[in-house]
Amino acid sequence: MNESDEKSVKIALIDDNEDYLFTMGTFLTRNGFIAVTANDGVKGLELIQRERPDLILLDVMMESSYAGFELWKALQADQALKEIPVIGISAMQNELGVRPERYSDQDYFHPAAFLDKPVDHELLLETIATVLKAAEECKNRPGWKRFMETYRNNSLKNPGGV
Amino acid sequence: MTASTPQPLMDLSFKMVIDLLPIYVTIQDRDLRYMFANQTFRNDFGDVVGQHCYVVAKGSQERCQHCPVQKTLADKKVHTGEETIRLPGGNLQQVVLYTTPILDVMGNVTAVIELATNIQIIKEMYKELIFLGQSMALLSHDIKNILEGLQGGVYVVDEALADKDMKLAAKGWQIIKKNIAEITRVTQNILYSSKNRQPRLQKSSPVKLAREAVDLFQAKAGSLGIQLISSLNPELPGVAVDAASISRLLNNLIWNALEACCKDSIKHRHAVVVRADFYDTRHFMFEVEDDADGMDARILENLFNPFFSTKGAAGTGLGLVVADRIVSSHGGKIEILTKTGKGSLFRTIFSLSTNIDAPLHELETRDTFNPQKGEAHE
Repeated sequence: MNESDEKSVKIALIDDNEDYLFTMGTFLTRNGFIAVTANDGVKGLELIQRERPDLILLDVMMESSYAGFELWKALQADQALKEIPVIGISAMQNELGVRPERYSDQDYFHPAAFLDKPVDHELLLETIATVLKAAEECKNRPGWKRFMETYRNNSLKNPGGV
Repeated sequence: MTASTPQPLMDLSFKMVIDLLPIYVTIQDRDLRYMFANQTFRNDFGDVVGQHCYVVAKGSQERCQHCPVQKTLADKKVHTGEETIRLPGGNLQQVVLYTTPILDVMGNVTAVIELATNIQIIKEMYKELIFLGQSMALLSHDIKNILEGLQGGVYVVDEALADKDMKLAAKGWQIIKKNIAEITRVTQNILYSSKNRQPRLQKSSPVKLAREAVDLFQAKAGSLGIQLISSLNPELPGVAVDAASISRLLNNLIWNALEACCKDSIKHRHAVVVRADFYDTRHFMFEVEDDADGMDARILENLFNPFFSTKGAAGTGLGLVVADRIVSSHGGKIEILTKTGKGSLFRTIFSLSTNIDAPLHELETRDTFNPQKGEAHE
């Protein structure tokens, strides 16, 4: 993806840590993305509906009224929003033992990729590029969902990918 | 059998052996009244023959549910169970019970023999293990969040320095400082929780300790837009406490209250009130009250595991576990009042004793404490 493509990519950051929104927002902006932020799930859903981002970076362990998992469910219930790829972010991935590949239930959180905090900036850029590329290539194709499944399963087998 | 043959063991009276056993051996009739209690039981509970078991061992006026004695009475089988019993001094002890029936010639149960072994030490170890497991998971989560904050702050400062943007650098530096303060707090809590230190009692002023804690957090509260108010009764006398521990307790409770306010996404203006006052004629209390969104039953249930069940507790912050430990080590009591959407109040109650050499006893009211019931909010 070249610089001019990245310029137009809008990423929604949903996290209850304001400092993280600021630092990650700065990082994304300085890497050519447009960052839009919300500090809880309710505002996050409004933001996504309003801004229609190309990608969502979602903290799944927000402690406010509307947790990341709930936001995920709301996105899945919306035909238009469910197509937006999500990268899950958490500081509890290892502790929770989140294993999205084990579940086929659509309600269950299964993002395109899952990154643990502290987020490795290089890995994040790589993951964003790969997820966006997959989403772009498969846009409006019947096999899109399957492609995303495959991408996710492949990235789960790659220790650096999750 | 000759005179030189050692006396067979069987010649010892059975009653003597049973009396000497280091476990409680009792026999209860169909009405759950004690018919017999061995010496070990009598040493702790006195002469109990004729009294109901639930009155003696539980301090209750009602029969217990899921009692193995009642099960044995019903089905004539051996049953086991775990119970919390209350010693006459008020101390709670966990015991494991075995019950077996005594049958009459018709095969009906006339009485039940109950053996009770104290497993308090095992329970203490079990609690320590749960505590350790929880601590590790939470620590890992906290530290990863702090690392994210430090990494993000450093990134922002680096970028700002490259651009000579001092305003941005100041913002990044602020984030770094906040996370350094956070890791300092986490580390102090780890150090505190890693050993069971006995409180070092010294005469201290509760008002002074509370004021110092409030002063320490005034800047943080201000930066978060939270009003931190103190209401300290100047009449409170000096008391015998471990000042360093009480400071840590207050710091942890105030920190939690501020955090709760930050996480409340409904209300935008918050206040935290810190009080130090008399509780009654023999006790004083600290209260830390927030007007955040309160705690639901699940959170409340998991705040402290008061030992009554074997349910694993999850979701306890290290700060509160340390707070609980400090209160217990002072023989104090902690009460939580919370209402969803309204806020929470943490009240810690301590003796007004000034004797720094006196052993610390648990508050007499401690066994009536059950945080799960703390639903009312003042």
